[in-house]
Amino acid sequence: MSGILLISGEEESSILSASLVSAAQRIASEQDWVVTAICRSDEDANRLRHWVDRVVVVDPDPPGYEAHIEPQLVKGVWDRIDPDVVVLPHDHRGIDLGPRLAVSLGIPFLGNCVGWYRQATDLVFTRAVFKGRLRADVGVEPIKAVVALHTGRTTEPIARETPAPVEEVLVECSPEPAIQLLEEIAVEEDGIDITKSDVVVAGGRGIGDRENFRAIEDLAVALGGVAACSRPLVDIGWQPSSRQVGISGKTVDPRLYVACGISGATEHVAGMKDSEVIVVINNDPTASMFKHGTYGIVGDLNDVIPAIIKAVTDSRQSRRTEI
Amino acid sequence: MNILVCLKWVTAVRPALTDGKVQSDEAAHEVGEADRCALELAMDLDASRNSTTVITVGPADSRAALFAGIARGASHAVHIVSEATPPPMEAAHAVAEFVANRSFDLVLTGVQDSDELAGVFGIALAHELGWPVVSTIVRVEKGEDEAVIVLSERSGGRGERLRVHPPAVLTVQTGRELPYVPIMALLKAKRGTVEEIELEPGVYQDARSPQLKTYGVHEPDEGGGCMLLGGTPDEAAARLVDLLAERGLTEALR
Repeated sequence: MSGILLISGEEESSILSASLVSAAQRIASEQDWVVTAICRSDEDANRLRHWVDRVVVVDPDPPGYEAHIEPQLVKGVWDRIDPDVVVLPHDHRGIDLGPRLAVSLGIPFLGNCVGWYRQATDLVFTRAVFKGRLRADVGVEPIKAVVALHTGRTTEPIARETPAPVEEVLVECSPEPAIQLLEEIAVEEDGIDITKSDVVVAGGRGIGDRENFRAIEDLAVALGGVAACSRPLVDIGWQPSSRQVGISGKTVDPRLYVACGISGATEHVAGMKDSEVIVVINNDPTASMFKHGTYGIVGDLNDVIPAIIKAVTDSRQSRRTEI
Repeated sequence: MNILVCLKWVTAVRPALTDGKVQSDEAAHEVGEADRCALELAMDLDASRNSTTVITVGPADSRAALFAGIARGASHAVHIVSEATPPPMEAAHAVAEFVANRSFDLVLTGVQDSDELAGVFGIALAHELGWPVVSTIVRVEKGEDEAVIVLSERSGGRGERLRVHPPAVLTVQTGRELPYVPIMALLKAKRGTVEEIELEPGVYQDARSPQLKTYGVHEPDEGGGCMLLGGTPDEAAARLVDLLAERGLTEALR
């Protein structure tokens, strides 16, 4: 059967899952393919069957270390339906599962895909390469491939007139005795959910000093939003992981996103690119973050942030005076 | 515990483009960040600095990656010499052939290289060797019974602590603060011995290494509509606040 075998996002990323399903629908439509979704629960199956042509609920026999078992589950379904491409999100799970699946199937893995288009009979995927500074267009037709997509702004998938059939499959898996799960580490929460705010002000490595994050927080307060950060600030222990925006952190799409001293690595951009308005403040005019900005200010954060706070305060004062 | 660390020599800056092709020869190079983190984890395990080998696959200039590894504490270096940097599946095959004839307990490498952002090499290597692999490792320490205890990063700050019994491949996530390597250590490393192995061209031309059609490499075309606000910080800030108000974002300024 020609088509897409779709693996939706991690369980808490229902927004990304919907975007991914939508992307799979559009690719399938252009290629005249069908979409088969693979999932692990009846709850997911009931959601997905309104959007795709077929749903397969898989269970491992026996269960085991998830990263080792999951490629076997997908391969079990691949062998049954013989699709053209596997589509999965380029999230933390995708960058592990995608290559595992590709090497076990003996087909290429195309990670970091930020778009696709059709060129004659070829389906061409655009990949972020060189730390996200360049793009490479790679055609897969007629070669089969595993494709990890950066999903975009939430696009509601097109609903089917009648729900798709759901099939349950038990896949025989070989366990990996050399790996044992000792403990699952929970998210380090600080009571602030950055995904729920209309305004997110994020600081990156360019803030220079731990103390300078106070300015990020002050700007967030002035704008009525929350403070967040890019990965380097979590890595060096300046901020908790609950504040991290990016592939390995959280995905946000606020009305206003202010990126302060953030270079614009793909890892970060994937987590905020769908914000309605993006303001970029950086003293490096070549920072690739400016490519994603709506408005940009080239300058020292120590000068620009207090100036914005003052302008916001003045604007607020002015409007109060008018009232 | 014998450890092998795989290092890739990659461009450190955005390379030039000519007719949709990358011209990376003239660009500055470095060991990829994730590979450097892998090397640091190996150093955590190898306190005596006598059981870590570094290996790279690539042309003559990629030998510099090995010198960087020796300068950080690797005791042995292996260069699989090829005409050009091979694709990840081919590089994995070459390293697997080397590993199969030696006695390593752990192979560490970056979760993905910073040029191709492929993320395939470590997992393909494990597959070739028939070894288990754990991805996105950020910490590793010795456990009981010759096992290692690793912390594998998951999304949103979650993680998994796992016991891994060697032999195994660990792919390492970026994020660790990397130490400064003194120039003197690098110069001394260049006097070290490097074992050389020739990679025969086309050694891995089979169904597992399908050739994809690359249409070209280009600048990102997403965005590009950024309006730069000039003037003094006060002028730029005032203009920004006006623009936000014009876009109906005044509620943000309450």
